[in-house]
Amino acid sequence: MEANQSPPHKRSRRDRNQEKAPSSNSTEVMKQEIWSEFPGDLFETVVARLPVAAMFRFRTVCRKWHSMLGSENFSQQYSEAPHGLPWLYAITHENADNNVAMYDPSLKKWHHPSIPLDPAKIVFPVASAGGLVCLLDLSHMNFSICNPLTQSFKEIPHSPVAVGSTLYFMCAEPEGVLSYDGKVMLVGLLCKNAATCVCIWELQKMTLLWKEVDRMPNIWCLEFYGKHMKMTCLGNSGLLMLSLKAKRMNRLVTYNLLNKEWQKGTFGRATSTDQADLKVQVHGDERFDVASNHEMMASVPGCLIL
Amino acid sequence: MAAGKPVVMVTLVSSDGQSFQLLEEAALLSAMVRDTIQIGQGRGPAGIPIRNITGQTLSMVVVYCNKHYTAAAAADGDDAADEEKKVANKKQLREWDEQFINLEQDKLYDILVAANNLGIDGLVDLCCWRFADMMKGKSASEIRVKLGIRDDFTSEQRAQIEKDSPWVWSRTT
Repeated sequence: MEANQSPPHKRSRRDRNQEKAPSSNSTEVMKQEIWSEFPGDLFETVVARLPVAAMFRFRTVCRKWHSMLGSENFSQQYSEAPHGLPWLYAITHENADNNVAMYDPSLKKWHHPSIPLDPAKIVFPVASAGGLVCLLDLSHMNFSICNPLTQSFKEIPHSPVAVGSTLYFMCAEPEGVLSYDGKVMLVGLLCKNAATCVCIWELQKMTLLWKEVDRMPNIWCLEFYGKHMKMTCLGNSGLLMLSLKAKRMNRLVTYNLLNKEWQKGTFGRATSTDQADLKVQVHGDERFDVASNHEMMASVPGCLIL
Repeated sequence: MAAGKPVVMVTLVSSDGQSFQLLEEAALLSAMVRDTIQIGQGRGPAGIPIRNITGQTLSMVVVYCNKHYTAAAAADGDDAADEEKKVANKKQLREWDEQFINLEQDKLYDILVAANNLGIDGLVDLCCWRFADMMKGKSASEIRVKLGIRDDFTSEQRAQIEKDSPWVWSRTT
């Protein structure tokens, strides 16, 4: 690592760019004699730990891999492996069009699936679980479900959403209150004179008082000084995503409740304009349901609306 | 850790005859050891023979078991309300795991197979993540070359697969 940073700067940067182009960022060599003798069941366990994009990419390796990665059995195994940070699902409405984008917070990348949404109908995401996103139209009457990865899309009949005997609420009001893992969190902007800071509180169950648990690094808050900030926030599985906006300013920040890490996100082209109205929905746990829809509206903690 | 509990040790014997003594509770991380002890064997001085696993690999497995047993025992003893400490300890163990598993592929493979035979789920999981890390940046054609797999799709079939999920191949931002 150290050696890479030393003198010939120009060359190393160019090299890095070239490497980036064909998707290979791993320098590790795979030894054929090891990989070819891998026992089948262990091999599936390894593949079930790949990031979702790689898993889709490897469907084109050969027929055997294609059927293995598309099987019900593998889907199950994939959804059981813990896959770190959830993906975020966003819709922006520019020129009255639904533009769909997905954000992968671990690689800080935006993907742009094309979902067969009716262009005449403005929809926004209200909840997600198990890799499926629930969309609602402006009339607040028509629900639909889509899996952005397989681009499947289905309108669902008018009726309260219930799984088994449990009714699931899809709206969280007021904005900024979210729950995960049995905790109730409040995320808000603390303003004093011209200074603004993002704070996170947790509800104390005994006293029913809010206790501050963290706040955004000071150096980032300085950027907001003197600006009229607007914030929207959502979360799932311990990951919060905050969209902070002011005139000529648009920031995306993620906060991990488990290790208390703040990270800056990047905006892709679909969401880069200041005017774009960002509606974001956490995309359940990166556990994308590959083959079937059996996890529809499951009780992933922190399903939440913006 | 409960005081006054008798300290019980077990001995694991590798295929090449090396003996490793460890706390029974640490060894119980292995489902295979658990089963052996449950049927009333393995506590004697002869120990538990571990077939197909060499001393070199077994020694690493023992290090893993000791570390994870100690961490779990310490977590049990902690004040349950001390959230901060719990988070810090978990992070520390994760970092230890990462260091521990940063191995040559041959060794990693031996440990994976050993952990699988011994039924140590946590270690199997750790090894699999490491192997997945090696694969994840590769393209489909690189995988074919590395693993000596023949591309048996027709171009129509491939086009269809790519059409099914175009976001995978389109440019990301």
